Amino acid sequence: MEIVIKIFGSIGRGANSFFGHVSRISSLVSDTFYWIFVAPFKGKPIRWESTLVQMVRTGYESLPIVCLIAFFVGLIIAMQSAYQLKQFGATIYVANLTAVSITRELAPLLTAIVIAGRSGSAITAEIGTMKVSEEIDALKTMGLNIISYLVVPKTLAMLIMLPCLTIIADFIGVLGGYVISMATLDIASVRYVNQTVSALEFIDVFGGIVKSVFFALIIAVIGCYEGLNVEGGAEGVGKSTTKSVVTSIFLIIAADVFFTGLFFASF
Amino acid sequence: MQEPIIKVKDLVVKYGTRTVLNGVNLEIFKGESIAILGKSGCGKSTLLRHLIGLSQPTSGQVIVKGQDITSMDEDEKTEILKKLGMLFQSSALFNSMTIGDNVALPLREHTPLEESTINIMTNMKLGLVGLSGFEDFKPSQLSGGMKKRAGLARAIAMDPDILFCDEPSAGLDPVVAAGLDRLILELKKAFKMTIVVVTHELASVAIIADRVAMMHEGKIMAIGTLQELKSQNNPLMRQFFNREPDDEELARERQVSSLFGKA
Repeated sequence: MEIVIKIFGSIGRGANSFFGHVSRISSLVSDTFYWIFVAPFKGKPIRWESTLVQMVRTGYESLPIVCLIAFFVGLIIAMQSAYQLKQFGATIYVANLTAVSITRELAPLLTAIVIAGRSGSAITAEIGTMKVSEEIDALKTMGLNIISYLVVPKTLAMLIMLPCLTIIADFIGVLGGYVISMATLDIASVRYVNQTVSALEFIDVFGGIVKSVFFALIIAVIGCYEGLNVEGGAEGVGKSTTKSVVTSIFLIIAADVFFTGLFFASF
Repeated sequence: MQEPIIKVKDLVVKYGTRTVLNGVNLEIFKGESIAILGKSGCGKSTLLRHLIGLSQPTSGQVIVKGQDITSMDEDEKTEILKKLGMLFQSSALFNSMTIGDNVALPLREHTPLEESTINIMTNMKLGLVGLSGFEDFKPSQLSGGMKKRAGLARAIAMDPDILFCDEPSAGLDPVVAAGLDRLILELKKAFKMTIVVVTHELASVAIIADRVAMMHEGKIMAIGTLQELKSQNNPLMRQFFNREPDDEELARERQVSSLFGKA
């Protein structure tokens, strides 16, 4: 009997903790949307100056690593597909495979994972350190709303910059495939470009961008949530930063499964 | 009779099954400086957090300038908070900003003043705490005492009616701590502020406080002047004022002595 109580007790505590997190994250999302979409019409403007600073940190400063990774992934996809397609004398279809897989899947997913590791962790560490050193309390005692002051600029910057980075990663990834094809596959440049253009449909690129908007929301909200829930000192900040990155990557991939399934079934 | 500027009514705070504040009642009057004393863990910092509206109590009321801050909406609370200042134990300066920007932040956020006026006011407040010329320094470049003074300059930036101080002398050497206590007292006189200090430093209390509220196990045990409290024949207060250890501590000491022998 005692073991049954223990089992149900631990299931209950786990469920309670899980739904507690879900409820608090939902509340954070709704507060953030209120400050982005409703509050500006009530005379509480968005802090565009802080948002711009965050856009530079999240977007501009991430550009080299995102481009490099997208280029390498383009090279890899082109080489792997050429390896199979060579057997059928259909190497021209390297262009199709590279363009479609980069725009539909790899550019949004890998860009989001890189940004979760780079900017999501930075958001948690920054907010977490502010919480530990009582800076969050200081903001509250000055009558400043922490959602408006801290969360909105970071979320808005992420929502704007991640789709932009994804579009750039689309181009650079396709360029990677082009470089391999020119260097090793003996395909004419014009033919490769024409093949890429004819292979791509609007929904391929658009679907990837839509996904990146949701990925951006996941990274920003989880980053801020974990930062605001830091407990303890420096160790707590470290733990929350790790948790933020792991949770973000997990949720990005889970959301990707959902959206890919949705696009697969619809288009 | 004078109406209190802060009135705490039956304040109860529970974290899970643990009761931290167990029905606190307290009245603080305009222009006085009151010290909240007590042993570590007695609930004095929790009380301070509730006085300034940083946390929501389980039950009870905190009435600041006639308004209950436990039940007001955010806009109303913001209006009240504009006229309250808080000096944190860790100073809580924004590390990403300069000292000048730290002091200017509440002015930039809550007043329509021109940047040039804000700069003048910032320099004036920094001058009052003896930090003229440090506007462009980052908090990491200052000593502990200077950080506390910068925190004080930020707390008085909006000319508050009430200044809350959480352990102002903690982590400072006696000379710097005494200087900070006198500075708080001078600012109180200059700005006619009400001051609420949470501390366990008796030396600070003697300098700053008009009245002392002694807390024990989540309740206000006694309230009066320091002399009145010292003269009371309460064993808990006698123990606190005479710096005597707890029975548990003495038992532990005896155990250590029995193991290793007396030095």
